[in-house]
Amino acid sequence: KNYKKMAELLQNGTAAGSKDVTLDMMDYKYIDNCNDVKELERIFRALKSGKDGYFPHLISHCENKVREINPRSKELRKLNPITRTKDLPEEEAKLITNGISDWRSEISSCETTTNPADEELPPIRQATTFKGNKSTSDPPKKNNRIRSYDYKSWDKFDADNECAKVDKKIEGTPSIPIASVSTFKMPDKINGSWLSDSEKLIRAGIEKDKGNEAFKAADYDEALIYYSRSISLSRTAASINNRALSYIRLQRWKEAESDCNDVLQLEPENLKAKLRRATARKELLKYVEAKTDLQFVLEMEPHNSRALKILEEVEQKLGKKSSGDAVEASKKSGRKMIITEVSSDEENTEGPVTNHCDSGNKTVKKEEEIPEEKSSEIFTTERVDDQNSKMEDSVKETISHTENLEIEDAIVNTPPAEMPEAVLRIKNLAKESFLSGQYSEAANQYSKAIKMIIKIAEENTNADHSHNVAMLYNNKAACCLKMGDDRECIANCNEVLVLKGMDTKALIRRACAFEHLEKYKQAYLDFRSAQSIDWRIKHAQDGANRVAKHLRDIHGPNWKTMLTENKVLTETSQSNVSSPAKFETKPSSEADIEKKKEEIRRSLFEKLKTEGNSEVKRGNYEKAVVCYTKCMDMCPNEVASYTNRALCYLKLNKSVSASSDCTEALKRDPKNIKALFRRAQANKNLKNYEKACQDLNQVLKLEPENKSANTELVAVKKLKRNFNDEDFLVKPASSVKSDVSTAKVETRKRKIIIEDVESDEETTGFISDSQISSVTDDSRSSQTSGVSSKCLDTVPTPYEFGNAWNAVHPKNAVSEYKRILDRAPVDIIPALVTNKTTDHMIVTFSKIARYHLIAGEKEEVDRAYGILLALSKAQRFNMAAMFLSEKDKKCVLSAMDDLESAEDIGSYVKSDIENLRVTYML
Amino acid sequence: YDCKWIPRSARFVTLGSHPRGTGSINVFEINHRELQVVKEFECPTSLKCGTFAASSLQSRNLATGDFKGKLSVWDLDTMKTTYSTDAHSEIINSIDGVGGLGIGEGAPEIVTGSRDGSVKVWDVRQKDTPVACMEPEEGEDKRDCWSVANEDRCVCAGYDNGDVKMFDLRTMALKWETNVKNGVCCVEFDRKDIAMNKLVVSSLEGKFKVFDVRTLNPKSGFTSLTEKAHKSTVWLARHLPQNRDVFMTTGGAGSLSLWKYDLQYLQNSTISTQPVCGFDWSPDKLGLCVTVAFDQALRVLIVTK
Repeated sequence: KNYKKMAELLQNGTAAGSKDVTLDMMDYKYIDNCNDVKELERIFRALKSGKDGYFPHLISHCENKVREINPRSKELRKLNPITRTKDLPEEEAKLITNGISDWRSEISSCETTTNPADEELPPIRQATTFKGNKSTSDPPKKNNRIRSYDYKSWDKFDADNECAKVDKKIEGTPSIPIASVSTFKMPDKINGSWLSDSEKLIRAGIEKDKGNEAFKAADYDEALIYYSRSISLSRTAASINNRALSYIRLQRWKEAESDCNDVLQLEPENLKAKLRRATARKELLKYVEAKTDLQFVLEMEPHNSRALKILEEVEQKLGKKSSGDAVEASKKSGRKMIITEVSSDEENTEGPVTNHCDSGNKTVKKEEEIPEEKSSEIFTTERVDDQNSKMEDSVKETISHTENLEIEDAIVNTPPAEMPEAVLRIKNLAKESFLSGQYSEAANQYSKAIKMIIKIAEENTNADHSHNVAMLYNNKAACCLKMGDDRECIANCNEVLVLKGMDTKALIRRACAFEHLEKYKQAYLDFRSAQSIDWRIKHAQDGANRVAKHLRDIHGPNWKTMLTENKVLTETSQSNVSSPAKFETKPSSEADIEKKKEEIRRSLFEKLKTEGNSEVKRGNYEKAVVCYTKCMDMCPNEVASYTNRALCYLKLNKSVSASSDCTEALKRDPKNIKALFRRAQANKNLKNYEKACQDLNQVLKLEPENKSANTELVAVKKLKRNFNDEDFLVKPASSVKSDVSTAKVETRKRKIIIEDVESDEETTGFISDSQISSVTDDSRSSQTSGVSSKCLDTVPTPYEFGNAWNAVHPKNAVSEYKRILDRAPVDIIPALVTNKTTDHMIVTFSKIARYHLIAGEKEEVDRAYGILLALSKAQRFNMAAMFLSEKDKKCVLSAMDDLESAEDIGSYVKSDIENLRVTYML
Repeated sequence: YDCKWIPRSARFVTLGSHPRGTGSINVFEINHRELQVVKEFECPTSLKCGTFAASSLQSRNLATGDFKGKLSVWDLDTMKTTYSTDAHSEIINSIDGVGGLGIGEGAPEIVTGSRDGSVKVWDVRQKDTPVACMEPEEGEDKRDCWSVANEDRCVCAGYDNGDVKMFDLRTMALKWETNVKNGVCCVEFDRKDIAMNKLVVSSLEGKFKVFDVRTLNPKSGFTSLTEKAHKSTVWLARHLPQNRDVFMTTGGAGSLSLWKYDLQYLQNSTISTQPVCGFDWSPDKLGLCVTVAFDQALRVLIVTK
């Protein structure tokens, strides 16, 4: 029987039952040679079924083959178990959980509780009934097909007639069989007068999303309607900007331009808007304006390939209008090289985006853009406040002008006195061709001039021509840079640096060349050394920042450490180079450069920090966060930026991020009070009361006088208790209560925060706070009393007691102490005091006892005796009593005397007092 | 049976049935990595389905359909019904709405589909009588209506015999009908407030169809694509509210599949051994979703990247 089955298997197929997969197909060779996807899939399925045995290697081999041929094959779909948080890498898990927690706190804070406004609703539909909803499950099947054996029917079949019928059918079918259903025209405005502001924002967001979707589907008309609807609800730069892009796609240039203008009014530095306006203006034949826009964009992002492309076109058009063609040609060749290089760089980053644009316009077709979803955010990060940006604008413009004229300046400024006649002539020629844009020609002429001057120098060794040579090299480098010949440029700059030592222009040019070659490290170092020579050079600063960004992208946040090794090397080489040069104008030692760099970094850091602080003052916490993040990049070891950012996060209700920032700060400075305090606040918001308590205690350990921490601690404890109650009872009422108390804490917190920002110095925050609070002594003491009275109904824990006791200020406010002590029954006092007994405490206790005695009632007198007795049983009491000063002893003694005189009221006897005196060592 | 996020909050509500046949409404809240029960409520009849789609952002009232054919609108703060009517004579299988939550314009309307074969449209301002009713003619077989979807005054209903019918409420006419050969478990439009775009119809035996409903060919109707998603019934298809091109299908064997239009398969995951009968994307947090399955477990998932 087995034999039979085996034979059957070999002949017909496998046990899996599928006819066409035979055993010999389940073979490495066969699978390798098979290129039929269907068959491979069948084999794969049969292998997976495991009915013919389980061969893991063969299965994976087959799987790989299927994937190779058809990566989207259904057979490759595997059922994965769901990923759980613990399966994720820690970083990612943290990111996700933090994201959710932040979202949660954000959303719960902005839940709208406003009363429903009177909506304008359309009338109720008139009741109608639609009958005859019959089943369509069995559509009448037309059975016109004549069966092959039905000869009678075939006899009747008239082929010609049928052919004619088919022809007629084809003619008869309308060429537009698809009738558009959507006759309904959407209004492009929404009447949102009855909506609240938050609701308007939500609806505007929904409309914008719809617009983005329609845009992605290349339905620009529809996208336009949705964007307009969004704008009619709330004018955000993002939706106007997106609408501008839709207009561009629809080739409605005028509207596009006006929309871009609107965006730029809202956000003057919006690069996308500028770029879009440039595109629109180019089509509107406003070349000059387009050019200024493009120059602005390139100033910010010199590698923007689209801007370069459009600029090229614009310049072409401009050139055709004005100047001759010969100049044009060389100029173009000079440009082209740069552009091709850049665009190839950019392609990788942009990634392939499918283009649905069928409009005939070529330039539009080339543009690959997705409307930005969060452009406003992106740009606010870059934006400083409006005034600043305007100033920067003007500065940048002037810089860009000076940039262009830089060469000219160099030529004019340097005295050509020593320069031989012939060389000077060539040089002037070169200068002219440079200014007219014929860079390659200029470069040739410069090299000719260099050759000549070297020859002269060799012949006539008396005159020192090195300065002139350096200048010529420098100019040649500029030409090479313009032409895009970066290597040549670097070589020239090196020559200059050898001849002249540190020359900022040469350094900057070399840096630019390095940057083009994507040697960001070298570029960065050059920019920085240029900066360290003359920190005012804005171009060097911008360049350094730009390159730093690239470096960060490539190497991650630790890029600076990677750099330092190289830095020292190059610097030494630089100083080596500069030292033998005789005509060294500025002797710059390594240490000097280092120092200057440090200074610059410091000053930048300070600038960013103050900027951040002012943003906080203005309430722009998101912008402040960005500033502080930059601060961290500048000086990663500066704690202040972390704590300040934590503050902003607190303000933004992103407690999770805030707490992680504080943890970072504490890593750097474990005793940073602000960080501890803020983490406590964050934890409080997150309802992590246990952790909040820990942090606050830490604060109090470091600064026992810290009032705000004390009050915060009491509040947290209160919340904690409430929270625990809540846990058991699930009462909505109690949550309301805790909300109230958090609100209260919130107000107090704000006070501290203002203090922080005003006192830029890190440490002063709390001290100034406590100073102020000590000025308003009365109000504050009432505050603490309020807090302590809050807890009156409950017996304190030793921990709370200690904190409350320490919090009392001034130290002779006996009534405050009494209030705290009153909460505790006599018998637990030793436990409450624990080992914290001090001489001050003994004195205070005796004073409290005297207060009790004044009342003259039995309970009071007993209590007075009780607390003194109880205190004597506390740990470390003897030690503390030993250190009582004469004055203190007197104070205690008088209390004892008073007790003795009140003996007849109380329930104690004289000998008790005597014993007490002994224990108090009096 | 069903779960829905409460809009503009980190809470969601689950609907179901107690063993003794009473209904349950539970409200949960996400708290860090835990779920907290905010509210538990028991009502007389088991609840099958619910929707927020016809309530305003301020009130956020939940409309539910129960096993006895009653349609109720709940105020979740007080757990009182603000509207209730005996909508159908048998279980309400499916419910949907339009006009609320800032989605779509015009009057907020609720549509219900029931085992009694009728599909009814309700306006909460009008008690007891539906504003529109689609029911089979007398003498015809009554088909079990398993699913409804509502878009821009168009109602789409799927029946147990595989019929899918689209009614235009403006003209009160049957606009389009087709048969997908298997019982229709779920119909959903990709967005409720744009000119009709795409319609997903999921069915028994693991297949779902996507109809391009933008252009109606007078002869062949809407064009469609078919895809086999699961080895078992496709219980639900739900579009991501933030991006209509992405949607999730849930399977009878506890599997979830993520798709993108042009039916590109993105991801697959098994969460349970039982059918996943409820699924809802959070309208506020991209990628966050909640599911309920017949294993009586509820799961909060997040889809990233």
